[in-house]
Amino acid sequence: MMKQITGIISYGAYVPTWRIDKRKIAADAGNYGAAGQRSFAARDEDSITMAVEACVDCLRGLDAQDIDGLIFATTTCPLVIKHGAGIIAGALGLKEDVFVTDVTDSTRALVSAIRLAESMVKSEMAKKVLVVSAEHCVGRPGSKDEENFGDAAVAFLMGNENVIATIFGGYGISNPIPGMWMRRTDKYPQSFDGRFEKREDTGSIVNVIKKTLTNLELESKDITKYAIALSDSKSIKGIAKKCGFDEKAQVAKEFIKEIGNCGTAQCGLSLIDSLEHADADQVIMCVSVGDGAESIVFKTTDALISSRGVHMGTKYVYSTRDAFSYGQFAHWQGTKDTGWPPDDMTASVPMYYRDSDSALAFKGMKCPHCGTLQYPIGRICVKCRKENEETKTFETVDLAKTGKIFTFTHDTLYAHGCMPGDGKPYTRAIVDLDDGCRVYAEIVDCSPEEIAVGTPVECTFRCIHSKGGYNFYGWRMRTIRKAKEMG
Amino acid sequence: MDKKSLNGRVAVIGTGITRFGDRWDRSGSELVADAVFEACRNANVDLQKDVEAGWVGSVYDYSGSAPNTLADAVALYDKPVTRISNWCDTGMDAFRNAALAIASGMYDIVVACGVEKMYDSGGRGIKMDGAYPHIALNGQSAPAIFAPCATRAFHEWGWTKEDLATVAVKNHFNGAHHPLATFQNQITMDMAMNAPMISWPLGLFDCCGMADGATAIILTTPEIARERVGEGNYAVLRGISSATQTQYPYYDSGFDALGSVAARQAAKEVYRQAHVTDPFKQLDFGVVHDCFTITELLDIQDMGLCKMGEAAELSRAGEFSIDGAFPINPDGGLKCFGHPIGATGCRMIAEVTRQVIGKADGLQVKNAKAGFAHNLGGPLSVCNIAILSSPDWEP
Repeated sequence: MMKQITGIISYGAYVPTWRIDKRKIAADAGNYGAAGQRSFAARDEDSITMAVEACVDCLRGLDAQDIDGLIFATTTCPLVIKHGAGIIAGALGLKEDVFVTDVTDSTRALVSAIRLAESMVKSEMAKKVLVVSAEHCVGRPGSKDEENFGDAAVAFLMGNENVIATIFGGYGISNPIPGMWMRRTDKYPQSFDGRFEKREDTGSIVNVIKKTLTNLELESKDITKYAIALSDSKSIKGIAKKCGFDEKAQVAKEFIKEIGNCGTAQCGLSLIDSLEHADADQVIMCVSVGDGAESIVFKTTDALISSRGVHMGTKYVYSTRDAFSYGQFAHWQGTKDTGWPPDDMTASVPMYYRDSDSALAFKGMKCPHCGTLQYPIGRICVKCRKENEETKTFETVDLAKTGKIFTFTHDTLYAHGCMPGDGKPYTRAIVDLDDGCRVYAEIVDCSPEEIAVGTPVECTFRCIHSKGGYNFYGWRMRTIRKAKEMG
Repeated sequence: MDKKSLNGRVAVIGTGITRFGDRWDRSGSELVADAVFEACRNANVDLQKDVEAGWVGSVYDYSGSAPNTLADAVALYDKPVTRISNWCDTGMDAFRNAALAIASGMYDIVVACGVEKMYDSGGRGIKMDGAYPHIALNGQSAPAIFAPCATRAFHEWGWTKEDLATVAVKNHFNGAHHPLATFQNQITMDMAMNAPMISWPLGLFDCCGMADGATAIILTTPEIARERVGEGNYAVLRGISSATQTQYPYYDSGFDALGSVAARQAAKEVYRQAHVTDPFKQLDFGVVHDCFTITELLDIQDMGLCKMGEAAELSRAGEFSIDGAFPINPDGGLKCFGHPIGATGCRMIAEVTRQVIGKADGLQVKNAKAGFAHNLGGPLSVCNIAILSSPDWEP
């Protein structure tokens, strides 16, 4: 077989910090519910913001400037005209001629996107393609979906240099069963019958696993880990039996009990868990499902071991905050009417576009005369008061994304209408970034007791507001996410 | 170059202050008319015959966005009229421009006024521009501008919420005696300490309230003042200054959040004009911009009345109360009047004037001969300061 060199260079993940017990959700509708928790996005998060977070995790220690492709895989992009990939590329500061596209509408999209990236690299159309998948699917209140869906994002940088896992091959089938669907005019996803869907999906998964093994001349025991997009943990039993592998030893973690079923990102998170624990020279089969199923097989390399420790990855699963109530969850999902009057303020789209470098890409400027780093980007240096006579603009620079709080307040006023229903004050702080630049930031995913002068904080990408009907994306800050100690 | 001064060239001969509060009953124009006609009456001037130019301060367009806010309100036509807008400093900036006009010799008698209809905004708190401070932030509230200064004062100097409460209690005591104040109730330390939080650490009584109101000032020369109202019924402007700094201090790594550079610059300049070298000794009282309790304490320090960090203990000791060593805000301040933004600066001028001519509406500062009015705007970014005195005062 030809030596495979195309594969994964780096990976990253993101899971929102918020968790709610599934039973708490079910109890609101008078049902019993399943054990475990699900993750849910904060009010200002969506699949685009989570995708940026996963990419930031993936790109730690790497140069974003040589990325020449970005593919965003999701079924829940908040925009149906205008693609998420462009916003993500802007937030990451990727170069202007990056190839950008969204691959959407089916939960199999992550593996499809990876395969497209693979072919781009193999055909030398691109050298480094960032594939990112994120899901924020809102289930109908009172339905099983509401309990079972989870929010998460994963990212893989694909290329053919310094890969940690090469692509061995893959196989997919198209089987457009009713399954789950949502029309443009629907508010929530629908499904025909859970059992029918599960039966068909399981059938597709088994079909694809068997054919993949056959095509690659492998036996089921040759796969170290199967990272399968499972919607519930029980269905693995039947799949393992039919395909002839050990459901305990050979199946990667699927996090359903910790965060739920996160759609396109589901198999990606299992794949990352496998990569975090595998040795070199091991084979991982990643299987996505949706309108059929699709597999991709990786073989890990020596480089995998030395790449460890850089990324948060699945650590985000264990960095958690419990919801205050079902009400908070429902308000943030947008399924509950908060009673706040509508925010009738408009915001300037042209201003936002003109300020993209500072607003979207978190860039500052450096004065050529006195060297002061400053934010946002302006015409005059705030320190020496000189303009840049030659170019009339200043050099823009990427700012540090971590810093310490200089001073702060917890405000109850300007969040009115912007954080409906949660009733909590909103922390606003002056932050001294680690590179010496100072910024003014909203601190989220924290409670007042955690905030003091000197508290370390890090950037997080959010939808700042949607005044005037346009999504304004930008950066807030949060206290440092740390995985809780595992018992 | 010798620095100039208008010390002794401008006098305030008439002041008008409407009742402040939720004036649902009056439009902005009607409030302007109330204030301007009152000022003309006690200045013994006829608006149509005598007033040669006008300045009106207002921040919100729904209060009035053009010179017509003044011109149409009182039919001041055929004359130059200017609308001023400069954050919370608007009113005194209108006054300052009117004073410069008199000092230049171009006019003999002019009117400066300010108005704001906060209650016409339909919202809660001061309406702020959604794009400020940055298009990718969620907006800003006024308390959240000053609350972080309190956080730093706690951190640097060990100030406490109790220190802030002494300011609120003192100002409410004063305001309770002023018939035109929005809030005429006294409060206790307990009420101030346990009030609902607005913007930590500022609670309800640490924040000045919403109010509507208008004020007007008639300015002229001291010679004309003697003719119109007689000796003892006018105040002389000893100095007026203004300084502007960035409206984005939060992005300035040199910002210490412990006071206003603009205020200190303006204080230095106004003291120079008035030949004041020791304000605590040479002046008798002051009104400062107490939009929040923390701001009053920082303002006092910025005015050079004490060292940085000392204002809290002096406040606790009662030094700034009506019978203290240096009364601050004997009228109850923004705390009790509220802050109809455009009207505040001129209200301060009116209060200082009425004090030095011995006709304070509320508590009278004993032997008030000279006082300052300090009007701050924006995030500590702009400051206008005036010193007014009786004609016979010497520094």
